[in-house]
Amino acid sequence: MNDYTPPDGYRGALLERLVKEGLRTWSVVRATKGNAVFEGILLPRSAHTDDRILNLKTQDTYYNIGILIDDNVKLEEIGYREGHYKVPDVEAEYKKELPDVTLLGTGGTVASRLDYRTGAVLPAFTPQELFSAVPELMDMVNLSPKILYQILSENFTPEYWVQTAKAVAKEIEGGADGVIIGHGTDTMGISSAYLSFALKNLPVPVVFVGSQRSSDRPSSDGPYNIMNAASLAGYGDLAEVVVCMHGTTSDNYNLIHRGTRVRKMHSSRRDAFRTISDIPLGKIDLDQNITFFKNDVAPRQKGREDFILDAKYDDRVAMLYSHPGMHVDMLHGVLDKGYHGVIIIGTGLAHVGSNMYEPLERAQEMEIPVVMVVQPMFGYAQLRVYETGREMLARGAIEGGNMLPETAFAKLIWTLGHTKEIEEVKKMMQTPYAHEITQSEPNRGYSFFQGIEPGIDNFYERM
Amino acid sequence: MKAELPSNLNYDKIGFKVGIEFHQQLLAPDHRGYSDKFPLDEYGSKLFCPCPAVIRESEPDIRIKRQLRALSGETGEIDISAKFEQKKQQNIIYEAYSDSNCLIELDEEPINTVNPEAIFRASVIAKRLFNLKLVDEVIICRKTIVDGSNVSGFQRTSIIAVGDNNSFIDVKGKKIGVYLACLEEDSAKNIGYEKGSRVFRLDRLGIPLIEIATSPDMTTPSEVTDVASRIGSLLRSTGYVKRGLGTIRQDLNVSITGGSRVEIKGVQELDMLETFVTNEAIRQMRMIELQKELKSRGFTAEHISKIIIKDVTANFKSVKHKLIKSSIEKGKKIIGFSLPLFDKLIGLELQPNYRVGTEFSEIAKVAAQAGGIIHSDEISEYGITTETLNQLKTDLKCEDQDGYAILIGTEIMAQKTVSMIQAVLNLWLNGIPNEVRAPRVDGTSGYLRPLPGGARMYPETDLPPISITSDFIERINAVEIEFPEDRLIRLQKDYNLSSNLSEKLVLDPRLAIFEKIVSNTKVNPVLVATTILETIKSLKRDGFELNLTDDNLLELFSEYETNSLVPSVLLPLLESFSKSSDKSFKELIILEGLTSLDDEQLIQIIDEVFETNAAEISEKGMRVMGLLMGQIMTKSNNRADGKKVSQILKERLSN
Repeated sequence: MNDYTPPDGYRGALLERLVKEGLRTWSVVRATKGNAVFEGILLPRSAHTDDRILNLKTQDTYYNIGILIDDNVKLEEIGYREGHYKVPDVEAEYKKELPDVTLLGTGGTVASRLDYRTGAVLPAFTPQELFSAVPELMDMVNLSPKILYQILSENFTPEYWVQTAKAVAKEIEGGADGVIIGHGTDTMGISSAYLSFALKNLPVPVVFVGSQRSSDRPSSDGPYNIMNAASLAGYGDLAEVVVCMHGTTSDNYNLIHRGTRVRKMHSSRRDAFRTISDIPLGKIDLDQNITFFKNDVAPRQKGREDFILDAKYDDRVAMLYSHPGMHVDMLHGVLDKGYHGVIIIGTGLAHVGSNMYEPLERAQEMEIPVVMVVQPMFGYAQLRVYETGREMLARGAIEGGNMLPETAFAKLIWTLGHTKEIEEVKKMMQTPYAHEITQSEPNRGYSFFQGIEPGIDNFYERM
Repeated sequence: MKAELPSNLNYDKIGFKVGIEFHQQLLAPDHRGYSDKFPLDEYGSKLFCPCPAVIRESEPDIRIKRQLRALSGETGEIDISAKFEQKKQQNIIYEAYSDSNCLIELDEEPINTVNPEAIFRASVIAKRLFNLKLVDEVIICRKTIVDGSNVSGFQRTSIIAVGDNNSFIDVKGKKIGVYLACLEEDSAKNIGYEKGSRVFRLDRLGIPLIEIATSPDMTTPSEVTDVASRIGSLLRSTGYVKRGLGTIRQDLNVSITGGSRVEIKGVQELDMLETFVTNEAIRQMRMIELQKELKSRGFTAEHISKIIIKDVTANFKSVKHKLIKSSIEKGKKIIGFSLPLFDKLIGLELQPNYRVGTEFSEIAKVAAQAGGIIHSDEISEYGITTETLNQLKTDLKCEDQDGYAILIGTEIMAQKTVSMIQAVLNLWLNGIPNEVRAPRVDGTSGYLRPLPGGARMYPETDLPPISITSDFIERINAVEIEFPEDRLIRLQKDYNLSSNLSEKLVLDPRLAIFEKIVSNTKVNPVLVATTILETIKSLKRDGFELNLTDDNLLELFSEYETNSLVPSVLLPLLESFSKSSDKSFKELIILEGLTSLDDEQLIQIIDEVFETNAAEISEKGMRVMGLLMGQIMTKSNNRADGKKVSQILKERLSN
């Protein structure tokens, strides 16, 4: 047995025992424990679990079971049956009449598989496998899937945003009619904000998409999101960075959100992505009909000569969340550590406690920009209304308008990549480039139903 | 081939074997959660979310629409039955209730950890009643089911115990092996179709189920009933299970020599089990004959691939038959398809009144929600002219030995139907397929899907495995288990209950409150049992609304004792409670003047009655006893103790 590899995930005495018996992953094992006989395929084991337990997939019922192995249990290999995880790759045929769309995979749950060792969902699907899972895509667009990274969205850094922006630019310059970015949902809204700034004068749609419910479940929202995203990228008369995710809990329609105005507002629901302080850009239904709700949508451009990749960045930016009893050293610490800019998510109209005046003054002296955005998420930073705000303005605090905190964070990183000159930074931060600050907020931009409004049952049913 | 069914089956000779998968909803209150509206002790909780396990009567207020698609399991294969279901891809509508369902049932949130009471109760049942060996670690698996009955697209299930050669139950002197106990979540209830979408309701989804699987040790139909009945009694004797309609479902695995393991899924009625297994044995016998005949006709995969589908609506324009005529008027199409080499075989009876054609009809229903098909062996009953039929045969290129059928609906429906018929016929080439069949009301079963394989099972990713600790096992061992037959003897001995009362009480969910009342008060157990089992029932039958909780019953009998009441006031007291259940029994006793009489009051009433009836008494003597008794009871508002009255009357009348 020269090519023997010990089974994955086992440790300690049980691992020694398995090695001694020559048992491998995919060995068909018979474990005899007193009167009871268990037979099944030896499966890899999750790392953070009881190290005395052997995992078998039973061969009659196909259930997975765990058996505690001690010296009284007899183990023997009675066969070997290797599993193959891979879904067959489906090669799509190029159709001249269909638009060319690139799918850049970055990981996340739109493209994830299951991992035995942790028993959890991890990115593992190759984009090609998408065709096997969602064959409809082949008839919608000529989709070229490319893997950029396979990382969870919480592991994204500004460096990844920049690389993603560059990859998108390359596709656009290469003639793609649209680009889709498969992205983990946790930080999708921040990546989409950065790309909104970094990709100027876009000629085609750049669509972020993911799945809230893991792709290892038949009910996943992933397949519909990707179909809608493909259709939007291929056919939508739109040239902006957008997020395309479920509009309701039903598989009914997807909303199209501006990359700078969108936020994940629920930890698990399909319809977690919401446009904040505005109405969404549009929607796309199951028959791939696209409807725009805003009249300032940037239309698709034929020529690509105006397109500019402006993916500069400086990731020395901190983000603080103002809270009662916040200690001054939170901000001092940021200044001490040499950060180049700070976003503070202030209470109400964007306030901090008066004890923070002192470190604000210090930031002002150091010419470190401190940008204020609002904790309520909806509405504008207004530092002229109360005394506190005025005191803050006097100490150089920059009002961030109605920028979402994460959008302001991405924008400051982008801005500081262009200039460190404080007045210039302030000017850029207060100039809207991609609808991150809007002139005014429509009344319908704040739609927080409480579930008790008259007629709401009927309303939800119609949704 | 004749369409007559065999009678008097020799079950030994045909190698008849049945195993049961007995599914029973568990009553498992998870007190990490709460529900004001549906007390958890009464309804129990769901397996993976904090919701009460309550089946609703009212109209749902949530409606959502979803679609499902099959994925590959952990071995990389897409399960055969899941693939099959996917062919039927369509919208699914889910209905739910804001006050008893949550985001977990809507598959909008990862599941909670397993309801600890469910895993405990299931383990007690598995280990203590069936002598199964508990696994050391419970691994929740996902069983892919994309027919819509599970919102997630899979049913969560886990093995909690497995059998060895000491795991069996004794049924009428025969050992029936038990090989598996699983803890799983119940599926959503299919409540029909709406514009081509399947509609499911989520009140049932997630209710914990224990599955007890027996070995195929039953060799006659009556044994199946006996075994199911025994398993049911054992489960009910624990008080750990939910009661009532729909809480038990059985999957019957039937096979005969030369046949295959076929599962009849979800049979609810105990008294229908024999019919289902008998009909399945017959079906497998007939299938063997049918396949032999097809083989002799030279039936191959090539014939199956050559089925012709054609829109033949025009041929039927002048047909007078009501169904056909009105369908065409409504714009439906008549689609014909050929069934090569099936001439005279489509009418073959597979089960009583269930022909090969019925099987194809069932497939049409499953595949395309088509109303069914009309096949060549029955089409003459529709008053269609020979010319029309001949034209149809020509259009479908049917030769002498070929059969055909028509479907009323759309071309897509016909395509879906034929594609599934082809899939099934291909399986028929290799003997009787392992399949899952749905019970029909008449005791036959209709085609549902192929028997699922292993590729549909993979571990639940949202929950790590659960270790079975030694503390947990100690708790399981500490539970007092009383088998129903032992309990029956104890009830008769300890409480002096008649065999009738004790048999009624032995598996009754109110046994616990009965025992509590009897131990907390000195009220005669026979009176308590009679009240709980009979008086209340008869009052309900008479139209009184009586919803008595355990606490109500306990209060009733403690007040009965405290106030030294007599049995005859129970009826009026309960009647009064049904009208004003917001009042306590204590209040009602005073309000209705039901307090017991002291001796002085009683004697006074008796004196009065003697006075009024003086003439009769002197004339008839002892024979007026009944008359006097009645008057005394009425006058005392039933508060007089009958025994005492009768004693006094006897004494006075004999003087």
